[in-house]
Amino acid sequence: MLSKLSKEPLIDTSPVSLYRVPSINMSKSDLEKALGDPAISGDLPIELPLAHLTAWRWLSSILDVGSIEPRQCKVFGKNLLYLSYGAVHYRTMKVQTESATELPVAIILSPEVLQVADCFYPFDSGAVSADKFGRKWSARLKPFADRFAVRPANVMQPGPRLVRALYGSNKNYVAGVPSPSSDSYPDPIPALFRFLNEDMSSQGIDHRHRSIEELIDQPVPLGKHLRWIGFPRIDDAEVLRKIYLLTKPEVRPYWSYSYNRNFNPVEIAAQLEMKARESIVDGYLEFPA
Amino acid sequence: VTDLVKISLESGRFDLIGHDNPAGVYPSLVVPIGRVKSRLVAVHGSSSENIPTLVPIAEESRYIHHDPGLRRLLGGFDCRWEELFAYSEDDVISFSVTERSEFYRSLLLKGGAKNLIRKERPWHRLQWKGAGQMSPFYRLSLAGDTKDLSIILDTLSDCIREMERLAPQFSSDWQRQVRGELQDSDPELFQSLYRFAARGYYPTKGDAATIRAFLGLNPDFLIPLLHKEVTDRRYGSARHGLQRFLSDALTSFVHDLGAHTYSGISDGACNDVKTTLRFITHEFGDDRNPELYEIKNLMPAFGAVYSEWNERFDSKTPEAALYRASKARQLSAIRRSMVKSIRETQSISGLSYNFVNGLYGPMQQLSSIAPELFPEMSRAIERWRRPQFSRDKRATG
Repeated sequence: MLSKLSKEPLIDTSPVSLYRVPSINMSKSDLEKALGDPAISGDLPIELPLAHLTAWRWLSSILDVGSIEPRQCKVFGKNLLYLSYGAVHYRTMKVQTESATELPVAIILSPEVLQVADCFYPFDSGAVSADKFGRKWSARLKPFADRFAVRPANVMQPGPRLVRALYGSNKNYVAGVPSPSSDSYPDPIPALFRFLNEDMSSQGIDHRHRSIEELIDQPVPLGKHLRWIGFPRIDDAEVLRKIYLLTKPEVRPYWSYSYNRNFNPVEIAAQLEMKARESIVDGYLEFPA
Repeated sequence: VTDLVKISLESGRFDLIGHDNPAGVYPSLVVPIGRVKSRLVAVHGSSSENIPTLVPIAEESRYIHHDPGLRRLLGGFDCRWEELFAYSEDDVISFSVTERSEFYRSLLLKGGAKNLIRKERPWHRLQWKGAGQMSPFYRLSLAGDTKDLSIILDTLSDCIREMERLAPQFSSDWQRQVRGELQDSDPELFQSLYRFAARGYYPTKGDAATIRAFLGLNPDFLIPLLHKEVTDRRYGSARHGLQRFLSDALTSFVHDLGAHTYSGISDGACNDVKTTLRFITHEFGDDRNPELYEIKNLMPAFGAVYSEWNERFDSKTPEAALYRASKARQLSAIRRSMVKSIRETQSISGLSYNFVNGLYGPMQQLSSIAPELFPEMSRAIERWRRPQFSRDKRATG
């Protein structure tokens, strides 16, 4: 039954590029320079797994190919794969789709994927580029692509370092609680702290803007990196059969949710976020820095 | 983030123009797509609020556009109270969220479509070929809402079989997950499933061992269960026991009342009878076998008519006697309806002798309290206690 899902082209062929991902040979960004501060170097938290959110409509194709492929990104104008560091964070614009609605599927990948990262941002770059956080923050974060990019070539262990600088610990990061001690670090970390600490609920923005995103420009093979998957209970046996073909002899944990109501994908994604935490992410939080 | 702004329905009427099917396969629940004041929106339900969420979507979004015929058919669609279910792209129906359970039941129940057509329910289509078109896992997603034990167990059985066939490595984990969900989301339903299975319910298409393993029926529970199964074999099937209760014990009870048409019975004895009937009613109500729903509804009526039968207990006038005779006829009619409902039900597979014991127990107590009032009923109980199969050594003594 899964094979009956649409095989429509997944790539939007008319991108309008607004920004560019800073290349390796570019000079260090403001944030990269600030992360070099010796106060941020000690006792880094361990690396967390990465999450990718996709749509049920595409899961069959992903499992058939055996990897998550980068898709054309309108913001940066190149093929990129967006991953959330440490937790599942749902945003409609991250599920690249042309369909009116989608059933979310969450995929948790091993921290080894950090090794192939192209770039990190300490916030939702798509939302910033689309001025979703209001004019005030658009102006203060400008030009975000050059100021806040963190590239593994310029900064060692960018994920843990960003967590250390902005949240203090993995527990605080996953709970979405920025650390006040960030205020004492070099610029632009204090500005970032104020941005992350601001209550934007009146603008319809919740804690999910406090997520570190990883951009990758190459496919991520699931057989090697899949750690957990959450999907709708529509065809469990077939999905799990395909997953096992990729991961055998390993049997990976998963969660399937009942699709018995026409629920808002945001609510479903919140459940996926919680289940992913219980199944995988919380295990990482137990490790001391 | 901010593109998930809710649109208030107060700002305008919702015009349904199409649907999107995020599940990717039909038949399926689908998401209504429409316009509110020219804005294109998708309608989603909410787990916490009773109002739908209207999410603005891009004009260029892809979805299934309904043709004029279908739009006319769904013209009265009210997104506040209704959802959509699609058999195919161009065959979509609406159902009321307040009738969700009944609607899912009609989709999943074997022969449900026929029943619905007979009862002239508006939502069912003749072309519905049955729930077999849907994946068992999707059926399971819907089955929980029906609260119908036989549907849930049948679907579970199908799912487990499918898991064993395609992904046996995940089967036990899958079962643990679904069991945990059932226990957490609806403990009462899970207990009913447990009791149901423990009483020897056999899914129509599955095997009891699979279901027992799924529910975690342990040996401590199974040993007395096996003992009961032996008892069942000794005394005949539970269905037979139920039929016998209705056609022998209850007939004798009404017959005994007939002997007191002119005198009525004392207040104290009357209370004992009422208590007995309450216990029996409770036993029918407690058993969640859907096949017994009709009896479950008839039994309280039986108790109420009995109360009326004796409400003139102190009167020995001919009028009072005539009144009692008419009530006795009503009791007989209700009893006949109960027998008829059993006869029309082809499969009562979820009963065990525990249930039949629960019906006869209170009657036996009544007969021991007032044997002189209910001699026929006492003899009926004696007949029931006699083992049915003389080949059984214990039965012949």
